[in-house]
Amino acid sequence: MKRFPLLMCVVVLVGILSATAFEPQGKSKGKKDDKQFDKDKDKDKDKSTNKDKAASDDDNAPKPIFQGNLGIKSSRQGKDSAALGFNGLDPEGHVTKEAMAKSPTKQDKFSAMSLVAYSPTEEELSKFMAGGNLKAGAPPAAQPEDKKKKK
Amino acid sequence: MRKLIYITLFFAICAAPASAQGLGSLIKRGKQAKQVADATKGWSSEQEVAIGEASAAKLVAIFGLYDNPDMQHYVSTVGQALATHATRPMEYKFGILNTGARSAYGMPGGYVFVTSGAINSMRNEAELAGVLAHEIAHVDNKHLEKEVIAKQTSGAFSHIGFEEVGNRVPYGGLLEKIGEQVVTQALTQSYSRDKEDEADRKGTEIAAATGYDANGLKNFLTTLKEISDKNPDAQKQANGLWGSTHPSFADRIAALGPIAANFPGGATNDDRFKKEATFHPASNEAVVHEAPVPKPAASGPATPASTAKTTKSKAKTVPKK
Repeated sequence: MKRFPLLMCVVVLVGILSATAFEPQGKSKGKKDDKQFDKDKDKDKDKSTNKDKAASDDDNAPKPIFQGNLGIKSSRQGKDSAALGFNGLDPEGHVTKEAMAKSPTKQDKFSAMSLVAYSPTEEELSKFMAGGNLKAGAPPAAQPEDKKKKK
Repeated sequence: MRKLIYITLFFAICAAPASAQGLGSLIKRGKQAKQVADATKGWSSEQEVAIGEASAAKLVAIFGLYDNPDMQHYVSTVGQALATHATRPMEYKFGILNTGARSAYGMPGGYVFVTSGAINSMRNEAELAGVLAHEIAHVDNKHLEKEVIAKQTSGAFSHIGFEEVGNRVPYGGLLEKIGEQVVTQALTQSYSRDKEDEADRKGTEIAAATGYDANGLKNFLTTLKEISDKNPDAQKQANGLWGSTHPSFADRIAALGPIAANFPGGATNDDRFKKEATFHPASNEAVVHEAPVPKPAASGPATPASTAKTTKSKAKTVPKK
């Protein structure tokens, strides 16, 4: 009976020790990561606000005379028509840090999304394929994910 | 004995907050592990399209689009013809990036880009088709997505966006960050060799199934090798991107030979290519003097039909902002 408290003490100590042993390693590092994450988030916010500012600056800038009506057929000679220069590349042919750091402007996003406008109509595609002696494939089967959505 | 009990209780009181914190941290880590597990499943089609749009915009920001709507339309039409043979349902979008560097990229969400420099070094439509089909194969097999997720999981890429996204469609800063990682992977890292081999094989099959000469990609790579061997220093800038993200020309040409041999014949559509893939005179001059002397067409002479007039872009206009 006398041994009971001693046994209890040992059990309690072992319990505490095992609980603390489960504590993940590098907890302080985790905190650092969280801080870094918050910092990055703030940076993102700053970036987006700066971009918005830049975009509004773009809006305020004097517009080219022909911008309104010519659409994608425009004769705009800006970055898009800088001929065959090595945009954003160093002499070794690798992308420069400055180029990699570029954030897409609203115009860049718009240009990327507008690529679909260059797609041919079904009729154009059929003519093109017939003219080049080409064969169309069968439409791909829907994926399981799409089938689920339909249900 | 009492002393011992007091000492034990003292230690227990001191250690209790630490162990409670440990338990909380354990739960938090568990949640994070679940998020990581969710994300490693791969992107949903909605996530893929959103990430594709962000990465395409980033590529446009870096290089710009080549300002020639007729040529953009032509490349897009060749691409759409090939895309009918892709296995994954996807709305493909094709574009020409404005850089003299010879390269091409297949981004998530069906965005496929080829550079104006690459087109300027091609001799026929089959070569263009070979390159586009190779990129379609990368998209079809989600190669870029797999590489990015692997790097996020290994810690080579930041997992910021990764944890936040979970199963939702990312937006704002997070979307931009993931787009950035995708472009970083595409422009500065290479695919694993097995992915490149798979894209070469599948791309060649797609091009051949469409009716193109299956040697298109092989012939284009041969051109790049010749240009590079002739004057390696002068061609560093033009071929650097391709070289840093792909296996050596010689290895790929050797591997492509037997694959292409399985698909004899096929159209090269030389005349249509010469007519449609025209550059502004000034820019053309800048690169043409470096191109090799044209060789006879590899195989599959262009059919009479190939000389037919192609459908011209019907003054497609994009709505202004």
